[in-house]
Amino acid sequence: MKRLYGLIAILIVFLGFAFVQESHQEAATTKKVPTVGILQLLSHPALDAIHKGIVHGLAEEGYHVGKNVKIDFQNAENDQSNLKTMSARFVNEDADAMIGIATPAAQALANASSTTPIVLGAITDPKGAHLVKSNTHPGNNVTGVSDQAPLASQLKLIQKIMPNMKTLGIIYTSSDDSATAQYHQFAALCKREHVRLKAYSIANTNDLNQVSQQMVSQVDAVYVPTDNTVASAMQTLVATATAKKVPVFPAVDTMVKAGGLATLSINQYKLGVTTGKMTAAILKGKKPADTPIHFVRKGEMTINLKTAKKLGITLPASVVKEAKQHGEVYR
Amino acid sequence: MGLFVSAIGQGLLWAVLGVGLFLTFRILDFADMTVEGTFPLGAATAVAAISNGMNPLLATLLAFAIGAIAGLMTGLLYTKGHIPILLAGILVMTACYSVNLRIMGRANVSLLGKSTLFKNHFLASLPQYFDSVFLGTLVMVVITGLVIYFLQTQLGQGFIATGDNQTMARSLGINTDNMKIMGLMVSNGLIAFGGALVAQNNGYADVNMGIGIIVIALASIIIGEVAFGDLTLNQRLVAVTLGSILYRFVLLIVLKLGFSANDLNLISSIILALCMMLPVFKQTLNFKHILKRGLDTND
Amino acid sequence: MTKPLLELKNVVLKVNRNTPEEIMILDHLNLTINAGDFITVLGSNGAGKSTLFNAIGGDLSIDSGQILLNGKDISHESVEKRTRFLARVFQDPKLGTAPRMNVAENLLLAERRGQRRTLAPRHLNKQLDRYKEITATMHNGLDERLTTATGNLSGGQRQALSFLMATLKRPEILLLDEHTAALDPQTSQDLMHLTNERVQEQRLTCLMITHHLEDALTYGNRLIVLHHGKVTFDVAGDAKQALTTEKLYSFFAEIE
Repeated sequence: MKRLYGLIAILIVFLGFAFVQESHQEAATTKKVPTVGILQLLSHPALDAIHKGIVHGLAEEGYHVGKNVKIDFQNAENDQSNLKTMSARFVNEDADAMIGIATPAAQALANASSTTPIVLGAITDPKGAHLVKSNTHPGNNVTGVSDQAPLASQLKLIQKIMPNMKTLGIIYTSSDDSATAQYHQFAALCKREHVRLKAYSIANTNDLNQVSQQMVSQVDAVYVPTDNTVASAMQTLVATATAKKVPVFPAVDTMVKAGGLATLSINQYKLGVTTGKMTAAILKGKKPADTPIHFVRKGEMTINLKTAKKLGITLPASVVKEAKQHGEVYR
Repeated sequence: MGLFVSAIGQGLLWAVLGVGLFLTFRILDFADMTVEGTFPLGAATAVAAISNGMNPLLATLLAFAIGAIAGLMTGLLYTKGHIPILLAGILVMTACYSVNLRIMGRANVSLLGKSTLFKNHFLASLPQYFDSVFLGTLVMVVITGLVIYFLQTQLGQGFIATGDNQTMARSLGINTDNMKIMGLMVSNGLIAFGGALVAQNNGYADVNMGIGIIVIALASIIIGEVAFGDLTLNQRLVAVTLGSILYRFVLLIVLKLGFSANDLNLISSIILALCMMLPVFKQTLNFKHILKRGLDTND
Repeated sequence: MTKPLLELKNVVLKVNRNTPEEIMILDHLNLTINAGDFITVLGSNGAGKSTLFNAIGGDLSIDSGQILLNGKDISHESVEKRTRFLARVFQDPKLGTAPRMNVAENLLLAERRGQRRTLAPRHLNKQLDRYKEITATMHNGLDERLTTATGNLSGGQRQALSFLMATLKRPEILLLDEHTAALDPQTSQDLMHLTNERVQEQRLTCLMITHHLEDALTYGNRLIVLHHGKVTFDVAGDAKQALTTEKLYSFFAEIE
């Protein structure tokens, strides 16, 4: 009981002391080496690749880790309360720029500070996530790079390979915010291009088998957005689709390796490099408010010839040539 | 120093969960898994309501009401449907996931640019992190006070008796089914309220934010009990809040020691398991003596 | 002639209903209890004594027949509703009190038996002096331990408290289910004396299950024997006075 009241007393004294300190200590101390805080949502090959790319990008612009820039890297391992604590940590150590990898991480950062520059790494839809006022002119302390797949080029690719397609199916995870956002954009795009789109959503990988069975019997081709859940169960989807001779067009190259037919995709590592370069520019004094969100318009061609053979589809020669020259071919 | 203030603020905000779970875990004496669903449910409700222009305070109270409805469902399944409480809780928790997606319309809704309980002139004028310290203290004083008052009423005494000795409670004319349902409603209402607070503090609600919530709430209760020893019921309720703050300190220290956040869940579970096994250690190792020497300077 | 307080008419109660193991525990049982009766209940294991209490208390629902209180059918009233007129003391000292609540809190709970519990403050401190007086009448140190959690009391103290709680608010019917059986002989006897005193003083209507033939003969104005779910023996007044343990033994030998 004494301990209970003792701790309450200590906490009150501490808070009182901290209150007085914080109120009087507004001027920040000057630092020699700039600090960059990187907050990553969770460990994942794609996100890790972005992290590596950022370090490389900073180095290309003359910021070498350990020499003239300090990087505080924090991985929240998908825990919401960690995001909050880690964002507070960055603000507390007076970071010169903060980078958020994946949407929740970026939101936590944006919520922690409205003054420290924040660079978004791999946020599909910054405006939709209320992180910026507009993608072309952010207007606040936030800018960055979008990992949005070049949807229009991808749809064109599908049409090129499947000229007689009547109905296109899309499958995504409803609990994945960025996948859902891509679905909405893709749906709008299909409407403009007069492509008939049928949507199928899953809650987790357990649903995939049944839902994909139903899907492949109703569509001529399947599109998969950047969706970590579907990606992790790609084998299941490909098996069901191949049985019905329905090709799967994923948004990401790794899913082509896992059995998808073809894609024009963004290289996650290069995405990170761009993010790193953008951060370097901000460290040199560029204002986030005037830096438009960077979108990748053109992707790299990746094709899987083994899948094509199984499906009995002959890929157009131009596609194969493009993949051989600038992209990747899986046999 | 700022980090410690931040930890205290977080501890105070998350303490609502501990008090909510205390009602079921310690008083009714069962583990209610519904909380893993009602926490994001409260967050989703508040965020959706605020996004649609509702006053943040009303939205937070609405979250309490919606959480209470989820508790009612668990209570009905448990008492009227005779489904074991663990299973009833898991069923409602799972169902909440779909409901949360429906409420928010997407997996993650941001509150950036919207008004929240934290965005007013007074809180903004405070030094950094003192907004959550102030609001958290206010909320915890009010909630702890209300719960203490409730437990001292005729009804509250009947509620305690239900968890303590059901046979006796029934033989004294206490409707134990209603007491359990009421307990589950208030408990889940508080957890949803906590979800609404945390979402407004974080600036967004995410459909996955309920994972591991029960461990955080349990940690507040159990650390509070282990750290402060023999207490009356009222003091134990206060100890939950302090336990929640101490838990945040532990997390802070673990991160400071250079552990990766990957290890946090493992470390949390180990700490909790050790705390819960303390009575066993006491018996075999005369632990109490060592513990006293370490903590109690008054002896 | 006293009027019947509680009547059981053709009460049938089965367990494991609609399964091959279905057993009829109460078999068309008839029993009329008059106001002021102090009935001791005897019977071998499985005769249906506890089931009879559970049927009266409402813990088990009856399959057919009627239970009437002052002529009103209460067969389908819930346990909670019946506590308005009914109080019980269980054999197991653990069942009668809330272990984590203290003695005074337990008494406070018992005082509102069968009443609505509201959000009004409990006002425990105002009652403490009165509770001290009441518990002092038990002569077992309970009055010194009003703020002790009942889980820390001895079995005898707990059982005495359970009895006190059952009679604190006068019940129309008091059911005692071998309430002294779990105690050591001396404590058991003390509580038995006290029980008798209280029942006489407050003119309680009481049913008491016991395995002590002596107790069954010494206490109460009426004695019944249950066998295979029926009342097979029922004596009162002078006829009960004339009973001896030998007669009872020979009776038991006969029916077995």
